[in-house]
Amino acid sequence: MDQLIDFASQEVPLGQMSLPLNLASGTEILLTSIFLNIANANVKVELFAAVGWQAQLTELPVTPEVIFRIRRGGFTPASTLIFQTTDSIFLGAGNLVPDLTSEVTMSFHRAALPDTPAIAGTFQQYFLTAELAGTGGAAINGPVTLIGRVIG
Amino acid sequence: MATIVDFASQEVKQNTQSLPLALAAGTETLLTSIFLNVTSTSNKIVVQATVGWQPSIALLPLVPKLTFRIRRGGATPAFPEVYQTTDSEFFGTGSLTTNIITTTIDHVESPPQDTVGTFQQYFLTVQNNGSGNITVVGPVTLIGTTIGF
Repeated sequence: MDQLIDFASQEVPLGQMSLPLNLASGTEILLTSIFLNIANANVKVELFAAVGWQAQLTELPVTPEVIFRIRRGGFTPASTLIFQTTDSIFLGAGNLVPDLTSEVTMSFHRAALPDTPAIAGTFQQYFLTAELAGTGGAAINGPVTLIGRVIG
Repeated sequence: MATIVDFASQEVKQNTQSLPLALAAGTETLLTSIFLNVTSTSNKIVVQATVGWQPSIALLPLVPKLTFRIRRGGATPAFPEVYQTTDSEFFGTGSLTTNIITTTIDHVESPPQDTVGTFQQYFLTVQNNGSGNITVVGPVTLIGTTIGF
């Protein structure tokens, strides 16, 4: 029978701690991280993340994109990339006063074997990062939730 | 080793029960709820939800926004809000006929001391906070897990 070997989680509620956090284009920033016990090379590492973010509507039309990544061992581009996805919103032409904000919620789930058998038997830190791409600005509003489970 | 102390779930499929559900502007509306057993302050309570919804696009431009909340103990603003996020769509000028969105949320919390030894009810609510009308078309899924260590 499969068992829940480890569970770890972090949540920063809407507007708490460092939130909201403005994103700069092309700079990958750390949102949060968790430690997980990689008991052996055959476990499944399951990660859930949900992030509320907001596009800035100053100059239309724009399509801000936020690249969300999970890295292991660090949160810079030098660290191992585990998972990557992009969320975006198309902000077309139109006069939207008084709706001067556009908040969206992105979430993803992933599960896979450890990226290398070399980490079996260790605790590994998994980092959730965000990077602005596309056109226009965006901020991380929160909540930021990161949940990890090790199944084996 | 972590253990699953409790698990509870609810799902309402599209076009069953009260769905589709038209939302009045500004009113917080209960979608569904679950009970979870809380056994220790070291538990982690995980609540996950997926909701399909559809803005009315009769009059463009508009920005429909739907605020999702998880509350503990009751479905009204008098009860503790443990999670809140908003999803939206931006509709500029142009011509559209239909647009359906699926929003998924994940929440985790450490239970307060005064909930230990009880079953706590967690409520998923939505509130139409933008311009235009919104209908919850479903599915509405709410999943809860109590993790013990």
